[in-house]
Amino acid sequence: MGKNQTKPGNFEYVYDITYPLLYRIAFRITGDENISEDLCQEAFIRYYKRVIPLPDQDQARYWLIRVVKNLAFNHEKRRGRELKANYKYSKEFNSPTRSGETELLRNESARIVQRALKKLPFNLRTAIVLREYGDLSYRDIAKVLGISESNVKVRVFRAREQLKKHLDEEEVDVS
Amino acid sequence: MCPEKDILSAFFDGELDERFVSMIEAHLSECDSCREILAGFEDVRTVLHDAEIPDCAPSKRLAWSFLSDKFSSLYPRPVWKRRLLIPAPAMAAVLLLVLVLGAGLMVSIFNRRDDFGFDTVTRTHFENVQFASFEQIIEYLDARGNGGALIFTLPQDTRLQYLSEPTFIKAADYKRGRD
Repeated sequence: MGKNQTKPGNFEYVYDITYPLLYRIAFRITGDENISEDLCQEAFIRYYKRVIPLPDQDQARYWLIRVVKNLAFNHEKRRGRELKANYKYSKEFNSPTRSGETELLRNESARIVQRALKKLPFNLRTAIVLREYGDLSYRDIAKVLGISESNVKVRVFRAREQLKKHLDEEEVDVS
Repeated sequence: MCPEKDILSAFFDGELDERFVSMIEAHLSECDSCREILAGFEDVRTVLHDAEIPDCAPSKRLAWSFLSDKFSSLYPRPVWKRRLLIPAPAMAAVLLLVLVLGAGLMVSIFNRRDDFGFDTVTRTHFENVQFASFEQIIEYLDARGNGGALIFTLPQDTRLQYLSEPTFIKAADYKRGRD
């Protein structure tokens, strides 16, 4: 990392230790590595521009995750509108040649998992991703998503239920 | 009687209240179908974790080089000149800046290295300056240039008052509140 950045040293530190987690979460939510990279970049730009600095690493992490989640949601909404407008691209989600998604996903089961995750409604997908890949507690997930812990519990459970169904349909050996 | 499945899910995540954990464990020892549900959660977790994810290292490097370029053009000033916002209630936290090197001190420490490793420069005056924000301190230091010993003291009468617990607010709301 360069020495000539003008931001305090802790930004580089936060970037260094948080980027992998953020990328993992973004990728599991969106299924696209290029989009994930864009989302992470945007999240760190916003973090850098924050007027009120955050007191510790945990707060920084939760804040960044929340930003990525919101950006992913906006992206998906926009994408949904674009797909509706361009019907011929509507099969894109089922196409294995979508750019950025499959270049590195040579593992077939990884593709299946990503497809199954994508089938979940955004709210359920985010909850299960934060739990399984972000390793956040229900309390932290509740903070990030701005919902109650009870709601988190329900969403995580429903996500698991639906995922199992989708994975079974893909004939992945889940049992 | 079997617990709700979302309770089992919370138990699976270790998020169930301690009071109920032993109840669930006792039930699981006797109920095949609940054990099967838990096994299903475990299998989903295994599949999720076994799924490969692209290596983030190239993306991380790329993103950093982009960010570095962007930030150096946005913020060319040194970091310590960046605007810092201190939530300072009007009644409290006024900082006194005092340059202390009175005449008596001058005699005993003339040309002697002090604890900080600097040669002591003698002055015959001291200033008592008040600041309302950290930015003003930085500006003052800028104007003064180098040298001198600075002592920051809080007012003798601590007029600090408890307003509330710190809370996070959105940057937009804070800016709006300030205007």
